[in-house]
Amino acid sequence: MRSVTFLGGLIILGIAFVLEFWLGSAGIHVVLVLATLIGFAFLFDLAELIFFVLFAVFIINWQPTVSTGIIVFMVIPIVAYIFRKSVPWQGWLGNLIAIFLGFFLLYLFLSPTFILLNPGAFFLDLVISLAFGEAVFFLLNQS
Amino acid sequence: MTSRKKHVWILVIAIIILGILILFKPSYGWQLRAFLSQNNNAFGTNDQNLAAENETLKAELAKLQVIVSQLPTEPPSVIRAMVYTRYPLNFRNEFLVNAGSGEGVIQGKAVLFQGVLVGIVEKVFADSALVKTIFDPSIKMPVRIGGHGYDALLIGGDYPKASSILKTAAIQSGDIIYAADPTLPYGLPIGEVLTTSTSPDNLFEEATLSFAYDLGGIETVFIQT
Repeated sequence: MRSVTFLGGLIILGIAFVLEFWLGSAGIHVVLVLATLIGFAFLFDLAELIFFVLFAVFIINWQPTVSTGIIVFMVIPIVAYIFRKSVPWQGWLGNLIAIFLGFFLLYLFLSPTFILLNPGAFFLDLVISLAFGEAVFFLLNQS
Repeated sequence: MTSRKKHVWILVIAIIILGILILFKPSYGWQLRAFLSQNNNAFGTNDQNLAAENETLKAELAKLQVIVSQLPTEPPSVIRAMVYTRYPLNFRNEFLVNAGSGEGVIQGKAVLFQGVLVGIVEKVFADSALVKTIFDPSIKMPVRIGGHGYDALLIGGDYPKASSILKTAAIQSGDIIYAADPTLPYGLPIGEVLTTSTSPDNLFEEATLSFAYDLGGIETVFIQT
């Protein structure tokens, strides 16, 4: 059963990538992969989460070196895992809060002025990613 | 060994392999990403070639009308490069090409597609280079417009615009916009005027640009040396 959930996680991560690239080609830039990884932080154990994070970084890294942006991208799901272990809330609620805070952190670290200059793009990304992250959580939580 | 322990060991080995691939063979990840993205071009190849050629010719004509006797006639040499991968998030617009310091790429040089300026080399690695495109929000570049060479400032972003144009400038849709940055070869075409409007402070004119290419469809570029 565990390996089925793990395989389901891999498939969902692949779907997140394909959707993200497809929406990006249409001019809608969302970070579904990060939302998925944060959702995974509430579903998988640490070793499995690290595997998923590294797999995502392997695909998403756009430079031959590990940049600050990639390090921030890697750390956020791990912090979400620590958050999950520290706060005894309902999984779906913790996931929602973690995605919300994770996205704010990502934007603040990588481009602090982006939220002010492009609030529409930021909130579109946030809303779509929140919905996707919660869907991922409920889908895998039931398997 | 229990099933759980086996699962953990497999994970540990997979994590180590991924770590090695990320640090030493990132190109495998780019190939996997290219497979997952498989973008379709918004323009047909022939349309892109013709439109880009049209812009290049217009820029040449504008350049000759303004300072024809003062420019070098020999075209600069270029390095041909393929696009590896693109910045995946919202904040920047840049891509990685497969030519680096080993091939003679230098930071700050112009990057062209079909003779049209699409970006500037931002960072150079041994075998690759990072190119910041004109669609990057941080791009700000002096440009000129049309045969009269009206001065303007190109501001990057999802929809780049030429700003700080004098209100007395007689620009119209279809006028060529070309580079006038001292760090780049003069007269490189960038795009054409699409629409004009007055700036929010009512002091200048602004122009939106149309482009002869789809950035997402670019796979080969030329880097000036």
